[in-house]
Amino acid sequence: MKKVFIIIGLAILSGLLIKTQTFREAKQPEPNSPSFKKKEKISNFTTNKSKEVKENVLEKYQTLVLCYETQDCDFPNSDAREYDYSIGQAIKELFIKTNGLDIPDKEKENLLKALADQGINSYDGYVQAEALKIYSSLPIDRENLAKILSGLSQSNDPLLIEYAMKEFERYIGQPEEVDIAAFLSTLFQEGGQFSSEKASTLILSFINERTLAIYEQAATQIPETSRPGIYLRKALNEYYRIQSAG
Amino acid sequence: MKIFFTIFGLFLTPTLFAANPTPDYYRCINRVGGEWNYGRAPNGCDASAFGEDRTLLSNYPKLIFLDLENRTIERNRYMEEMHALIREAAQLYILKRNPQASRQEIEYWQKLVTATADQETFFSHYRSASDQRLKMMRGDIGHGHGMMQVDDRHHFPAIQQGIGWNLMGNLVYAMDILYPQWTRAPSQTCVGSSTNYEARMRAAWAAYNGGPSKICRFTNPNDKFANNDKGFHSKLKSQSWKKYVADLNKEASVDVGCLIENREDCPPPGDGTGSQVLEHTLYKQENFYCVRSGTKLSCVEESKNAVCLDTISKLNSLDSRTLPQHNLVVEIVDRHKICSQFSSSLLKVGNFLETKQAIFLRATPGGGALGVIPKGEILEVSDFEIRNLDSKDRYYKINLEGKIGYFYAGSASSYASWAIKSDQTAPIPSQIARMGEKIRIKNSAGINMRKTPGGSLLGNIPKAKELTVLSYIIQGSQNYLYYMVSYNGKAGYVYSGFLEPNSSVHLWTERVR
Repeated sequence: MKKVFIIIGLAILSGLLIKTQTFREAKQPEPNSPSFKKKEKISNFTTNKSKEVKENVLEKYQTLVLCYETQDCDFPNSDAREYDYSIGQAIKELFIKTNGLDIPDKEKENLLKALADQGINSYDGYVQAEALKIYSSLPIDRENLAKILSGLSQSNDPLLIEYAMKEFERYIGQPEEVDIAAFLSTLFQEGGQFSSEKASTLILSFINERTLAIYEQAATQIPETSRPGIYLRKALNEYYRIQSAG
Repeated sequence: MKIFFTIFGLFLTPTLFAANPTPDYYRCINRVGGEWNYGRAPNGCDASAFGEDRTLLSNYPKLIFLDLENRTIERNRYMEEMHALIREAAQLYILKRNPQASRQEIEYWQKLVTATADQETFFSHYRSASDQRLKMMRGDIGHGHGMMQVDDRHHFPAIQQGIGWNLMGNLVYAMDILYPQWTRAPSQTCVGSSTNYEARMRAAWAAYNGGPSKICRFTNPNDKFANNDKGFHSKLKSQSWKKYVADLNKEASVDVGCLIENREDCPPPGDGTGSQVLEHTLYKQENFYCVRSGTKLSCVEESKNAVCLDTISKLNSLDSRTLPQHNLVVEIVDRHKICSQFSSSLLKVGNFLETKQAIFLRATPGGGALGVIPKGEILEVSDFEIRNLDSKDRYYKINLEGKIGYFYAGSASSYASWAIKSDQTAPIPSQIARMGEKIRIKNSAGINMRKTPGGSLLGNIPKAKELTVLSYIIQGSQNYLYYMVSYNGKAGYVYSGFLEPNSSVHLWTERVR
């Protein structure tokens, strides 16, 4: 009797396995089967749709930027500055809407980065700020930093520079920090009054073995009475003090 | 005051990176009209909505158009003063940004800035109006602030900080916008070269007026705003401001260089330099201000501390002269020590205080109202400024629920009705450990213990060591913090970073709670 039960049990088990196998096989459609073609169609559609979305967004961006050149877009123009500001706000809105798109994360990230790469060079400080936000959400990257440094090289906006300094902090300890040191040194020597002053109040954490010589050189070039010069020199003194334990 | 609470409540927290929907004539109180002529362009609103009248009068006494004076005489006087300020500021500014700028480029840049001030507001900024109130220029239905018309929709944080209100702040902020267009212009097809100065000036102004994309707008007579460019060009060619300026090379009656860097509280330049260092006279060298006492020259850093030198040698005035060559023994004095001596009721850094009335919180001592500090608030003093030889007006820097700013705390005779020392502790944790509290050394190299602050070495206290604070002392222009501690049987001082402008204390020690 015992043997009968074992045989029946094995038979049942085998039957279950066969059924499972059949079920599994049934989940894998044949390459030429309608369900296989449907799955492929969905996958292609999603990729194509994302590509379409990307092209649309970038095209919209370029169209808006062209408005600066053509001067004939349908934006308010009731005072001298309104047209330019309106374009900037529209571009900023495009950034925000793109961030809200229902597309896979990786594709959204690539799309936002493509926008940031353009926006960091914008005439408009608000757009540059949006671009900075995007870069800040991405892992640190040498090329991204280079784009930021280039895009902000003529910026006079102290708030934008303050925001950028937070982004620069992510690169402390990385080889790229010498590029930041070069950028800030130029800012202190030749930059706008308010932006260079703001950056100089935040300089201490950027001074280390790798960047010291760059900042020391900058300190010799900046007038004694200039506020960025005063703050830079005091930060350097503090750095020396830290090294010598006060 | 209630109205101000409401207004501040509505506008205290704009989004930093968005155009602000500032209403027309935002905070425009007691509006007065004017005329489209130098010094009195319409309109004017109370300057006190954005900054202290006291500071305005102290910093720019000769740069206020006096409505009640003889108009012709006053216009000439005012224009001569304003022209001198603009001319000097423009020159210092361009040399700061481009030390290699040629004589020619400097002159054209000065001309551009002057023509911009003319085009925007006929040089109008501060005015003492017939209602006996000090006004500030507000154009473009109130959105344009001051001489250079800083727009409160697109530069709201700057307006809040008082930059639009402060004459030098206003001018420098505008030059920060104008200068990149000046450097960009030569590469535009409508300018073509760096020495095509007329086109370069016109392009830079077009971009200033209309935005960067409008840099070549002046070449299009059909542009909607072509009249703006025509107006600017006309002013550039006619230079009609010159009619009112008897001495085109007059020196400014304010210390332009100091105001560019510090915006407030700069001793005005005195008459002449002289070859000798006189007693009771304030001298300036770079960022130091000095006074002679016998064979000693006592100097303090920063213009804001100059008034405290009165305690060393009674000053005849706060007009400063350039320090000539001398053989005196130079002593650098500590601001905390001499300012306490100057006014014994002045509270020290680290003290707690209680406000005795509701007081404006400002971005700088004199300008940029950020909000109101309620009566009865307990706050910690993180910095101070004291102004005016006679009244000894004091200002304290504090942190009110995360908002950092200054408030006026009365004069030597009235301080008790503004803010007094308190034994209570402020709700925001202090960076400074008090007597009896413990600190832990954070610096990886430890901290040297010294006999006196910065004095002879007693030994090194390693990282992670915990110590009990016996007392603390604040010294120097950056508010350097020193703790007196006991270690290995000896008492001495350890340095623990500076408090201004941004604290470095966290790199040295932390409070053990």
